Amino acid sequence: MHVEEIDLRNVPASCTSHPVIKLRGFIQSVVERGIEKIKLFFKEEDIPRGIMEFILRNYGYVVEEEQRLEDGSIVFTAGRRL
Amino acid sequence: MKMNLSRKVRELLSVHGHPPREVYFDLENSGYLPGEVVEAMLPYFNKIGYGHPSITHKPGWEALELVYETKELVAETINAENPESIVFTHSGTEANNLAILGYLTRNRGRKGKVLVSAVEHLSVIFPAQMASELFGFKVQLVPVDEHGFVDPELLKYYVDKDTVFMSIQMVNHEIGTIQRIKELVDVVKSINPNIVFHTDAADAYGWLQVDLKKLGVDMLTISSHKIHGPRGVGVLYVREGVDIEPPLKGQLSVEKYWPGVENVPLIAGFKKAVEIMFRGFDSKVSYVKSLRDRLLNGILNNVPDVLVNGPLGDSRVANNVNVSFLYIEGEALTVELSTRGVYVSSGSACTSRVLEPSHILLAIGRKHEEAHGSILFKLSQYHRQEDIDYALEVIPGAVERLRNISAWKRGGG
Repeated sequence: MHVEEIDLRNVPASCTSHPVIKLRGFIQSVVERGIEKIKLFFKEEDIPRGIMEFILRNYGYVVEEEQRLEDGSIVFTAGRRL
Repeated sequence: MKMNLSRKVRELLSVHGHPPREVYFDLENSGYLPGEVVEAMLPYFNKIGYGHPSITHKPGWEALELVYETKELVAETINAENPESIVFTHSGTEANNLAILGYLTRNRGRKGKVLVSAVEHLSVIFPAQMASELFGFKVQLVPVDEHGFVDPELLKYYVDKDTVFMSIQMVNHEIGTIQRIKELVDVVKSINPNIVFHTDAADAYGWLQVDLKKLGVDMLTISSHKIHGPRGVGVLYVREGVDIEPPLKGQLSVEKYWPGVENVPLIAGFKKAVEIMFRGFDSKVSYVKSLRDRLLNGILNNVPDVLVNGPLGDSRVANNVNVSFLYIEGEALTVELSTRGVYVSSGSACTSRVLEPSHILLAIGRKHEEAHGSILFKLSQYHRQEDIDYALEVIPGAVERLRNISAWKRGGG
């Protein structure tokens, strides 16, 4: 199964670029294209873990797997639930 | 170099000719002043009140009288108990900076968390980021949904005992979303009553009832030019008990948080603009709403491939129309429409010179190419139905011409 990935860890903060803004575009895109599985790399200081879960749930994705990397960042693998 | 720049502008102006009508929709960035407002300002340049408002002589007291009368008027329109809680700055941008940097500078020892929504004006986002760099506050951007609303449920995950400050605007300046501020304040204060809540009400003031007693916010921003007042006047309401430190240093006079001399003639113009704005408030709002719907429906019915940015109906402020014309560059359309006497802006004022898509449109999930084709129309009680109909006559042809020469093709990449 195709897994669409996004890395939000090194997004420079500017007026048009921020992990929250990037995430919004990514979610819009995967929802529109009916992507079943997604993988997100993010830092909790940008988007707290619970908030990422909440946002994904709002768009029909449930976190199936969670990993914490050495640098403290988080990897979520989420699947679409209809 | 200077010669070349002015020659370029002259060339742009020379292609304009004499359109049958001129309609100005760019009230986001600046606007013309009604005659009444200009007349109210003129005496204060050289007849009365030309003195410094904190100096003890007649021209100074005349200036002070006007400054106090304007504070009282503004306080009345937003149901603020004390006119002294009204602070004049020289723009809405300065008022937002004063709120954020003023509060966070005063509280720099506390560290803690600062929350701002992802669709705030850059005069909110940038000072918050600056406070993070200077004082170590942790700044988080709160995401919004596809219409620009902050979800109160989501906010519960962000707010905690370490949160010291947050800023969420009352009405979005680009897409017109009316935020449910009261509900958001209640959520935030129920978790941590010590959080200072600021709202940028620049696009709400004059269009919605702004009642501080109902809203429960601690600080609130107003901008003169958004209500057909002169550029160069901003207001920050600061609730009694909220302690802020002036980020600008200099002689403080009437304004306890903002140094420098008040721009008295402009404040006279702002006062008149406020009086006009609150005259026949409900009928003005419903009139402008009818113009807004006429313009929006006219565009949707006559131009294919258009997306509406922001909510529809009562959740959208009365004077805002923001649409993305797909397959064209918004800035090219502003020029094309300008030659036909229709003046609009593309993207946000803050980003329109650098051809970057608006962060607001990206935050509601628009793709870059959709955001690039956005056009913002801001209406007021000075527009007539004929203005809207003229714009609707001109827009479809202008869009079609640009689409014919566009590199983006319909159905293609």
